[in-house]
Amino acid sequence: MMPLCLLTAIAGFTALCLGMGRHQRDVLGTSLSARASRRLKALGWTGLTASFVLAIVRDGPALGSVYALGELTLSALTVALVASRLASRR
Amino acid sequence: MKGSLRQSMAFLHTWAGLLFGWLLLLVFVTGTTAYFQDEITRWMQPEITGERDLTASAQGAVDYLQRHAQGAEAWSIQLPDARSVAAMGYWKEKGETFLQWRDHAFMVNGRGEVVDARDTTGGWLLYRLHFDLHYIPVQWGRWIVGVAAMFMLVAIVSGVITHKKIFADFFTLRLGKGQRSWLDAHNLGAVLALPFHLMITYTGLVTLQRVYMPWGITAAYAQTSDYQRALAGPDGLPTRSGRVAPMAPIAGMLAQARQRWQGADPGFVAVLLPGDANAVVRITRGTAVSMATRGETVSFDATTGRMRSPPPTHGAAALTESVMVGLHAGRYAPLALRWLYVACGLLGCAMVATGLVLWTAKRRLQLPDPNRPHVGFRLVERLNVATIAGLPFGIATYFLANRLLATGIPHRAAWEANALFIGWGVLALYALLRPVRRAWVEAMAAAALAYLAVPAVNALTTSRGLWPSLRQGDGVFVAFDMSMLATAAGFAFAAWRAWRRPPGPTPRPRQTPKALA
Repeated sequence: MMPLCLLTAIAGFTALCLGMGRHQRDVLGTSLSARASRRLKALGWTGLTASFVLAIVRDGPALGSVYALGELTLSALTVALVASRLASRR
Repeated sequence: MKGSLRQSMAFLHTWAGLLFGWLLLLVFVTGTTAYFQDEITRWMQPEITGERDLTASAQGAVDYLQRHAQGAEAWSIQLPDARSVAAMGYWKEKGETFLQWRDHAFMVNGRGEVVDARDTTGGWLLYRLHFDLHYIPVQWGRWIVGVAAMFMLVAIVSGVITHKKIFADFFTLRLGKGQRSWLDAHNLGAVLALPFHLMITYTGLVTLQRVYMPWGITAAYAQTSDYQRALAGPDGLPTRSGRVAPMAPIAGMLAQARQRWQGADPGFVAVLLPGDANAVVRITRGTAVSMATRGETVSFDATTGRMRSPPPTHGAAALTESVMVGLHAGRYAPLALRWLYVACGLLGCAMVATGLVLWTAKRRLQLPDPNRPHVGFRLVERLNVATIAGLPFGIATYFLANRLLATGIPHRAAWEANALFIGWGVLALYALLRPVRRAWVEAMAAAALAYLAVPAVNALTTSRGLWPSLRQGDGVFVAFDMSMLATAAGFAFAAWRAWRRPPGPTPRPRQTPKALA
């Protein structure tokens, strides 16, 4: 279930990243509408919450939250590195 | 007012970070390795093979101690946890301090046999370096590291206040833009692992709170030993009867302890006054089963093997402390979580290292003459090379010394430790003597070569090289060698980037030198 938590968190961070103005320009090369950005951000937060909840369902509240924070860190790092790579290619 | 708060926080962050940065890097690097302390020790004792058998190795250790340490004050047996194979036994003669026990430590494998393994401190050296430093009294080391940790906490809080766009810059990493890139990397390492950094720094101070803030204990107890007794239960040290009596089999006592803990493994056995009729066996629960790291200790009459009155239950404060220490040391963590700890620890290393480099990158542009920086600037520059490349190089020489030093030489373990500091010192000295740009490239290339040499030398000097380990499915040895290769690749990449960088600091601030120092 750890891969599932990581994937959910990566999806969440990706949506959050794409919901931000500068990253849209850097990664997509275009700006999305305010409404699309809002939706992406909402989707992103849903993904992060889901990842946290999945970890707690898997390992209980104590161990689950420690796992979740580590998984969120690793996922955010992955998204930041990919975004940096994509932005430098444009 | 808002601007001035941020400015004063930026000042605090910059100077607290610089002053303690080098020491904090040591603490982060060695702390990160400590999560794999047991695995490192296994790699450093390649003579120990086979499967773990807790009871057999405990019995083997007791047998050995009965033959060799009958009159000792106490015996101790560190039982293997799920990540280890062998038990480690040692004893304390009258008047010896705790730290002298290594002089007569021995290893017992899962078949109960004492193994003639090479004399090494293993992963334990790096773990102790994390908070005791080396070559100085441990109490000094703990105070120095404690002050550094306090400043780390200051740097974290002031750093968060200083960071102008913590959310807008959350995913930002612009490479190849000089100072800007260093700032981005520093922010990324700090912000993405912020929960870890806060937790690890705070709980790190908690692990040694009895050193830093003993007043709670001194207010409530006449002597620290009274406090220890209250914590450990009424039967502390027994009094010697003078009558000799044989000891009941350890297996029965281990089984009773395990039953009491719903099947959880015991982790530590101490026999007080072994051989005496009043001898006591104390068994402490292992750390793998719970986040609360201080497991219960139960006592037995050594001669009958009967469990004594159960130990006192502790209150919420003791449990909180135990969980905080557990959260810091991660001894409970299963393998996947252990790797997440390591990933966060590496982000911490990156945060400190990039922070140190950022200090120079930022100031290089403001120097009156960038080709002739002032003494303070040059000192920081050189210390950065000496620590960021030198310390990892020293750790590699520690591993190499483990494989290359002859097994019979006296004080072998101490010489392994010396090799770490000799390697580090030599590279630091070299960095001081070379032009700084060359020093970066060469020191990081040297670190890359040293880490590349570790698996090579391992394959040449033992029968447990990467290839045989892969074929036998020996996860620990494969992971260790692969980690060495990955570290080598990381330093090689960094050296290559530093080498490729366009020469000299450009006079125009807009076109700053590309990446790395």
